[in-house]
Amino acid sequence: MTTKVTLTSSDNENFSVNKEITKRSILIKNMLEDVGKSDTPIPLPNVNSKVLRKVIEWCEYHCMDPLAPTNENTENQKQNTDIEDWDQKFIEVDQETLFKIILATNYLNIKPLLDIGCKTITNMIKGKSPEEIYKTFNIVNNFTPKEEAQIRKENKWAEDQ
Amino acid sequence: MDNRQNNILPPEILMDIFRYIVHNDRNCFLDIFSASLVCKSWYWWARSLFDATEVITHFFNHTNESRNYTRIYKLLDESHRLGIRDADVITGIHIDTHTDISNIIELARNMTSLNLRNIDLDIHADLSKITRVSINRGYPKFIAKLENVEELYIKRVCGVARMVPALEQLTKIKCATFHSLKFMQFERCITQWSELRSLHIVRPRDGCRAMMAAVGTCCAALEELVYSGSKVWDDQDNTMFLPIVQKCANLKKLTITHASNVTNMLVLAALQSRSLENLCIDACPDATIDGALEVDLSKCRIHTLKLDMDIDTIDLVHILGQCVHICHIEFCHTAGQSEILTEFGFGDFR
Repeated sequence: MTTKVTLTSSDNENFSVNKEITKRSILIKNMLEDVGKSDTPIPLPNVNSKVLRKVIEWCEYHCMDPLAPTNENTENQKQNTDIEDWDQKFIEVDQETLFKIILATNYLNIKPLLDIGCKTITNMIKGKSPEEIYKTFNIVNNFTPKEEAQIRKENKWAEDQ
Repeated sequence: MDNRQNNILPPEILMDIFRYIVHNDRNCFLDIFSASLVCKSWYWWARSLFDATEVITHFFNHTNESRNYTRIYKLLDESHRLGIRDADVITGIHIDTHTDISNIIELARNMTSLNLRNIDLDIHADLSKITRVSINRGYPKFIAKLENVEELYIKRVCGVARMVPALEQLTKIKCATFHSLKFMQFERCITQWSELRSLHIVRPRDGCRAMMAAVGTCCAALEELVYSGSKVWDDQDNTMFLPIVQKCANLKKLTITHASNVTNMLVLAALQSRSLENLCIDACPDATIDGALEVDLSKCRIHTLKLDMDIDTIDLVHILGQCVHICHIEFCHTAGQSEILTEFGFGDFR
């Protein structure tokens, strides 16, 4: 018999999810160990229902995957920013949702999904000029004259040459 | 309302993203460099993961590609606009290209060295700050603008005779290397190079007697002459070096290799020089030394002597007896001469 767990999003929507699936999140796995066999819903105040639905979708698809790689493999993994086809389609969301998925997976401690989010951002940065990057991510280029003076001070050795 | 923000992701995630960029492909430094110019927080985080000085210097000193030049120029220009001035770390450029590099030379105000291969475009930048130039193939139209160049290396450039009027203007040259060139009319520019300290001739494609005569006459400051001959052009009489050995009072090092017809007269003149400290005549098949006994070598200052030839025992004793500064000697000695060498304190000869 499959055991279900209830997850409660920040906007108070409940999600009944297979317990094994939720264990892809290290945070939830630890919480489940702490509460034992209690049926109390697990509150996730940092994740709204839209994002939590997406995260659960990802966990369900990847439920048969081996556990997250160990730290030793992490550096090797960083040499490759290829994303599998299903994950690629999964992560094709608007930018706001993408950032929220990344923040949620960071909070829930789901390393493989966090990696996919980071790789996606990396691929969005590749080959772009600073202007294209700050337009893509809606960032203010805030190098102020004061800031510039500070940087110039730190690069003073070059000026002295 | 401007709802743009800078702290879109927490630093630990931003760092993870930057690590992906850094570990990604061979051109990753351009991506991380670009990211570092996005805003101040990205600057500090990105720059903590890569040493901009190192990667920029490495790019300009080692690349043989031109395809990234446009992008790196734009990044350096943006950095300059922001007051960061990353281009200040560039002291030299090494490029194999037909790309116009004028803009990057203008931007990199500490650049003093150009290493160019296959360049056939003019350079419109101010080149007065350039002191070292290496040109390999192509036809450099900008030679006359190198008014302050002190080190010049030219290899396999066609139509050098056309360059002579421009080369004549480079009066500050101290070190020159000419590789696989024809030297027609070169004596004209040599007469203007009174500062010349070091001259290397490698595999000349025609005779350089007139040029050597000009060196002997006009380059009193010459300290080093290295000549590596060519199989194609090996029938010239190498007494052409005599004017240099006899007239350049500061000549300290003379190296002649792969040259035929190295005469006894030249070798004896070199041994009699009052300035030479290092003499090497190697891989010159006909080179001989004979009659050293007849000449006064008491003023000889040579400390390193390499002669790829036989020396009569009587001449050897005379050389070792008179050339008191010799501390290293190599030549084709016989078994009997080993004893003499040992007597004179040379334990490490071959």
